[in-house]
Amino acid sequence: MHELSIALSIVNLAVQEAKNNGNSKLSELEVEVGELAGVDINGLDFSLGIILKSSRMNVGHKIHTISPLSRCNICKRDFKSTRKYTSCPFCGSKDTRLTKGNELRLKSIIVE
Amino acid sequence: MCGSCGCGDHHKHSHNLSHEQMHALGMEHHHHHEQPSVIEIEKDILSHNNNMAERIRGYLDAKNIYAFNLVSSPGSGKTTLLETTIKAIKSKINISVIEGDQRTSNDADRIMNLGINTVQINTETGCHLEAGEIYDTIKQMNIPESSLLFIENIGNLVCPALFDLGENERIVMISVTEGDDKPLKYPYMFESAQTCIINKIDLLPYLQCDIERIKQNALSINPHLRFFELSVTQGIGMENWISYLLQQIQT
Repeated sequence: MHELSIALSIVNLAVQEAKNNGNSKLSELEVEVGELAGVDINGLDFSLGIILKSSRMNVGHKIHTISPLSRCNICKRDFKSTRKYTSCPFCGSKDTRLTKGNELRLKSIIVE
Repeated sequence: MCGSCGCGDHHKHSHNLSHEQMHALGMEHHHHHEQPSVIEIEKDILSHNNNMAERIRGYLDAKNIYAFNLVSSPGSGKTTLLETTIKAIKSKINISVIEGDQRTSNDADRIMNLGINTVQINTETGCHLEAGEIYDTIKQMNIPESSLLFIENIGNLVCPALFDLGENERIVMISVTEGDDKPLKYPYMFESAQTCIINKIDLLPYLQCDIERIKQNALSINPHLRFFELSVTQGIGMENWISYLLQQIQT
């Protein structure tokens, strides 16, 4: 259950960024989470909701999930993957890398 | 006198002042904050942890210290592995240990009894170690140059996977009593490790656990894994392991 500590990091980062932006008031934060980031998205959504509600900051939040994509280092083709290391469906190579789906990013904030 | 800004009678300046100028002059003015604006941030949420991890890595590199982050479920034999390893090589190379547990200093006491520079971190409710804690700990440990550092993480195959501690190598340990499908059940940890230690292999005759299946399952998650098959308590496979450790530090 590391979603709560990750949610806290998100809120701290967003508040800091709003402060850096001329002390504006944070009204919404937007997060991008890859499906293979190792984070339970429902758990994160729940945790963010609890923190923002209990802090009485009146801040909304949105979570965008990102589907995983891999690239084969041998035949250089992209393909949809289900885990970090997926064999290439075109040439069978195991030498592949995840290019999308591992994100855990504060995408943007809305300030007033 | 100018009613807007309180300057002298001679009104020779424009009142098209910028917002910052009005603040500087202490003038009353309206704030136009009604329009919400979107600010693109695009920052990694774990950026603080990752930055601290890179600082640790730089410090360790400069001192030629090779660091392991040892992760497993509770009871796989991490501390016993450390004890046995330390006894075997402490005359050849200096070793320091950071122990992570929710509570107690039991593990650190075991290692300290061997005369090893050891610090216990208690995370209380926390389920993993973070780089900031390791950074603060390493600063006070005075670890000698050209040595090994073991960080024994909290016994947990889930959360520690996400947190880079600035280690050179992550070792995931699994004991054969845990079942051969463990890598499939906890893929993130096996994905993020470079080395997999399979422990308690002396118990294989009593178990329905196929060591080849553990390896196949782990390799299907992460084809780059390197394996050590050990029975730490019976001393099986320890020579390979020890010589591997000694190769990591060029003295």
